[in-house]
Amino acid sequence: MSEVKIEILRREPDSLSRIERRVVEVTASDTLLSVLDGLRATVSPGLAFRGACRHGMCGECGVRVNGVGALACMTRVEDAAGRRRRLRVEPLSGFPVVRDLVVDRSAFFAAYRDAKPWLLPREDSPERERRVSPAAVARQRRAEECVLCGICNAACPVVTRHGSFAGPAALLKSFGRVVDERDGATTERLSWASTESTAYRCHGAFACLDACPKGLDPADAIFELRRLAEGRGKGDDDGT
Amino acid sequence: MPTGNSHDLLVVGFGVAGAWAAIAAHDAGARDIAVISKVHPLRSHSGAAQGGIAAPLGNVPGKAGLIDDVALHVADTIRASAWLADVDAVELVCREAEDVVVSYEHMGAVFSRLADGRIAQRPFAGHSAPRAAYSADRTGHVLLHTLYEQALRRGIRFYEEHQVVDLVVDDGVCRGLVTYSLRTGAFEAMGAGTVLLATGGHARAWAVHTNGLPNTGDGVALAFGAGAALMDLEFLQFHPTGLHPLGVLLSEACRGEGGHLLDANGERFMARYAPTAMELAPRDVVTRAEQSEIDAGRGVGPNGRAVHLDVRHLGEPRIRETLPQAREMVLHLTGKDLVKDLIPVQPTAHYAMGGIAIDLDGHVLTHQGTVIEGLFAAGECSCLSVHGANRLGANSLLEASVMGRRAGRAMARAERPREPAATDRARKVEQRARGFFEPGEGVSPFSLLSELGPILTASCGVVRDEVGLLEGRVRVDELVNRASGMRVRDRATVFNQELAAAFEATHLLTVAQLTLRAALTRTETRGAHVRRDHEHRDDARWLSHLLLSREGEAIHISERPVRVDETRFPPDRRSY
Repeated sequence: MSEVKIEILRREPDSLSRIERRVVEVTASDTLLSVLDGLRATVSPGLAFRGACRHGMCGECGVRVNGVGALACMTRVEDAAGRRRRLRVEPLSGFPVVRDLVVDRSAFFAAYRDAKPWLLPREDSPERERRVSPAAVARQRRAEECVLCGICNAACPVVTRHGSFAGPAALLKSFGRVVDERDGATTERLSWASTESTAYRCHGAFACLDACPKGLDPADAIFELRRLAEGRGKGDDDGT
Repeated sequence: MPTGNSHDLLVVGFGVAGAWAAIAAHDAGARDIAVISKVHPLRSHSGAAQGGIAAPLGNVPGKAGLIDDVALHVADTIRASAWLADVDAVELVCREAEDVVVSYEHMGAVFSRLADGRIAQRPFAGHSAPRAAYSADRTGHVLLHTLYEQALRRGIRFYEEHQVVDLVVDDGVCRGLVTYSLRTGAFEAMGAGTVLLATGGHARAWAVHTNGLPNTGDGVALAFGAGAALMDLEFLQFHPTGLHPLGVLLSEACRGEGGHLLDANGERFMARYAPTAMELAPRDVVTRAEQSEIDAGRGVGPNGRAVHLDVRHLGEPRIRETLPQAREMVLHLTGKDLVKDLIPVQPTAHYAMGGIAIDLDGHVLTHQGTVIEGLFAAGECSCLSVHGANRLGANSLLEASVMGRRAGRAMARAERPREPAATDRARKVEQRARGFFEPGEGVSPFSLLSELGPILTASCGVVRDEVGLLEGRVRVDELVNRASGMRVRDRATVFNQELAAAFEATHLLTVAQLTLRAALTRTETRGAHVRRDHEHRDDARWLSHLLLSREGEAIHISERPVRVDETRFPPDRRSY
């Protein structure tokens, strides 16, 4: 057991933010999610935060920890508090705050929907499974692993500036279907991806790469989308 | 004032069962479908399923070139169930397994593949051939995301962060439900033609568990209150590899890929319990062995409450390929690396085999076996029974998918007229909620929830006996009494999670009470239900399902014989 100072940025709807300061006793296995849960169960019954699976798979508990986006359930308090034994917890930046650490993700999920992340099959389904090479699966993994926590969007300077930018998560999901051998909507997807509110809006700040709690690289996917879109454009110019 | 509207079909919960129901109903022609989910649909706990979905595709031959088929799958499932599964239910689900897995592929799910491009399959405990189709070690995540994409594509409507707080059943007919919206704080009545409960499990009632925070047995408790029978609640699966001490799940794929379990002496103790199957014996067998080792003082860790999982011999490339999520999670949460370190694991409350009694189309049943019209259930909150006294790994995603799909089609077929919203019921619930804010001292729902876990773990854990269960019953009854004076301190309208927890605590306490009652009643040891004071399986007395239903304020207990096929799958000893 050791003591950690924790500061939580709290805000009720229609009022100003305040900082709640607590000193908590933590064990080596305590996560930020379990500490928030403990605070709410005891001294702060109104502390609002989201959480679900407790092991980094559902994407529900994204918050900002010492200024950096993280999943609360995968943040070991001992590690995050560091030598200063201090932890500051805030809602994800770039999202409107609903209450305390709970943010409104409707724009984020609307962009995801716009990306049409569902498979649009190239041809009618065979009786059994389609064949897909392990190499193709490996390419898709980079998008499939995304849990849609929104931390990349929170970190992205372009999302913060331009509300119309689809953001790294939606583009990553689009990329996942572009490299899907089974998908037949590549042209449509690349034309969606190559606009001023999609891949061409990206400044290449690579904030998403640093931010992703799953170690994914949305920026690379965005550049790949651009490259593919340009390649396709050239193909058309050649009169093929 | 409570508001209300109506839909033809209401689906409560968007794990794979609810998702399949919504999609299948849509594909069968239903259009006015709404999904009610207490979290964003992608946060549903099906996404936490890791190792695979079972289907006898036969893509990977087993030992001695064994090619898998439906009959083998059925036999394995029934043996693992300790003959408590109903043979017709098991056959139905296993028969539809291939089709449901292929459908996932057609929808765009990214499965791990063999070199020739077919879906890869891995060995799983208790399955006699490599049968688990998988996507690395995040199969549930991939399947859930695939289904959500398909629901978006079909334009299915979602009520997110809406919690179901009442189920409206009058005269044996379900007419809708009442929800509490976290975003607005409003209680809303919703009328429906048909309602599906797909609310998931309730292992969260135990102190150390693999479940998500939202898994509070809402559907099970509400169905009981509305007159449904709950079946086989005493069977709660304890998973042998919950990460110590947090309880979060380490995939069975760790053992499927060849991991070992070691006691404090570094010995593979399974040799003494299941010399043939070793670590790949079914979960009840491995968990009980673990518990015996721990109780005998051969556990590891500061308090000896764990054993070691060892996958180091698989080597880094194999671990990176097949267990990436487990490795990342363990690294984050404990600082240990599967590649180099031994990982402490412990028996952990995981999956409810029991739940709302249903028939082969997902209709909810009363204890007399009659149907509650308009009400359906599927997935972990329900009990068919396919899993009997012990579920095989990878059979849960399978059963939830198959039965969700069947229920969705049956709901579309039912074409029941849409009922008006029961605003009077919403008003009643709202009044009850107001009671939580009354002045005076009262217990907080959060503290009820945290007090419940240790009581259940102590009294109704891996091994039970009458004395312990009776004590647990007294203590849970005490919590229920205190719950009647529950107080909510948070006064907010928006995201009042303490008020939400007040309803959740009520539900989880109900399920705990009923589970204790069921565990006391079944005086034998079978599968996951281990009675120290009744050490043997007693087929002469107990080859039957236990049904609990409400009779006024009392609990009515009845039994229904298991549907056994004496010729093809005669009850036998289970040795692994």
